[in-house]
Amino acid sequence: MDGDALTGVPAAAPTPAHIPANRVFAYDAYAHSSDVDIDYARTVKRKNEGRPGIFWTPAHDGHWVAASADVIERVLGEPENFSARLVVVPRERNMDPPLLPVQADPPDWMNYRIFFNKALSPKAVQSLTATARNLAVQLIEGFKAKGRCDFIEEFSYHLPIAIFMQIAGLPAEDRSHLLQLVHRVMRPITEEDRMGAQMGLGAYSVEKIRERRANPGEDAISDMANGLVDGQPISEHTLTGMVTLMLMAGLDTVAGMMGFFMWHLAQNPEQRHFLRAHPDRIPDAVDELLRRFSITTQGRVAARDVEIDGVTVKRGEQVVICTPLHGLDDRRYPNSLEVDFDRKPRTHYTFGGGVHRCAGANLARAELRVLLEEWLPRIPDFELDPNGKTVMGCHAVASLLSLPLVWKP
Amino acid sequence: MPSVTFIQPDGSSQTVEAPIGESVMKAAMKADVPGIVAECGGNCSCATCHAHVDEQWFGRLESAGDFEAAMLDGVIEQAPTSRLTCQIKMREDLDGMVVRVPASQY
Repeated sequence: MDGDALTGVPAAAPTPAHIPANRVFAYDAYAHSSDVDIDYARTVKRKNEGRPGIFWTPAHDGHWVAASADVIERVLGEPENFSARLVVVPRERNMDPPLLPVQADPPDWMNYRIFFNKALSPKAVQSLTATARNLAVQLIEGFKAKGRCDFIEEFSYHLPIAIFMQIAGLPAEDRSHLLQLVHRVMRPITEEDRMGAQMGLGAYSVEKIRERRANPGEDAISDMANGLVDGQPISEHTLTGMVTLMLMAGLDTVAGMMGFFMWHLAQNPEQRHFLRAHPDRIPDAVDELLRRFSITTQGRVAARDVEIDGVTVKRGEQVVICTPLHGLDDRRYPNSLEVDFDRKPRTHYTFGGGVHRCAGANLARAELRVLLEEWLPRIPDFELDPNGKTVMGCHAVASLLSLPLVWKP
Repeated sequence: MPSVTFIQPDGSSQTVEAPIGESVMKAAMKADVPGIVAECGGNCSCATCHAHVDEQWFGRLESAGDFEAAMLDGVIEQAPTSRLTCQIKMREDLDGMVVRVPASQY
């Protein structure tokens, strides 16, 4: 087998008999953290260059990898064939009881998904965008005179947290507590610390759920806490998962994407200047950058034997979806590594597709637009700090953990 | 082949083929009707296939289910005849239905 080394993986699982040898490659979907190869999407593309649209890897107890735009669209678009019951590899790492709505299939999925759809409706996004914009301006004006910042630390987590607090109707005085917990989850010193912080988020969620059951408000937690599924209230366990999902789903994803946007623009002055001169092109730029810098790794499990791309995926086998392999599939997007704001069509799979397509996609787009709209006029020229270190970390989501930027104040 | 007419905010209109059993949203997407976005691909999850059904036709439609009704509260420019077009399945007696596209889905 060719390909990269498997990191920290116990004895590789034997390949199932029905899989031809020419469909087996070494690949660890989660192991790309680096302070050298910052461009996560490009790394994923490079490591899988020339491989078939779906292949098997012995990593993580053995699973398929959906590696082309066509295959990814089928895997995400056919929940009757590819169930979301298992979303990570190996099997045992999946939550049990399942995280809802993430690990649910239609029709039950909608019973939980509806709360997210409502909280993130077009009307809700309009109001949340105003909050994001005010905070973005405040943050940028706050560090502009310094001529430097760590973009991740000083900007990118703040918008998603403020937005979650508004969606969930949380009081301003809870912000620093949440920020601390999030910091310990996103940049843990030890695994123990991270788990402690996750439990802290869980405990905070339970407190709010109970509060809102007793005294319902107009916010998303009240909506879920008092909602019914088949006439029954939702269990506290499921609700806790939903509330923490509401926070976490929009956190390292949005912060991560903002980081990749700024990393790219720091090195592409003509594109910065173009967007500053033509802010009406910012929405197109946001979608093109989203395509180019896909960050998530998803998973499904075959609900039945499925014929796809010339192989049989057997019932129970897991399929990992590397979203960069959609956005950087040259068959679908010629010269895929090039960022071209005029590229057509404008559609991409960075937010996934099908029934589990990111519920916060439009909110994410709005936050990214706000970033560019408010940053570029105030700090039009900036660079990567030559004395600083950019760090990229990844598991199921790739993000920049540190992005030092400098500019003339 | 039955058809649906989409009217834009500027008054211009487009009459498109709408096969029985397929959603009005799909008919719009196939004909590239501007202003029907349908981000989520027809899963009642984004409210961007929103349109105002003409009053003459609105009463003939099956009422919106609970999930669609919840989504309609979150559309931009909600009106009494608002519907998510991905939830309207074409029938023979809807041939010629008129639907107005809102100024924006966002």
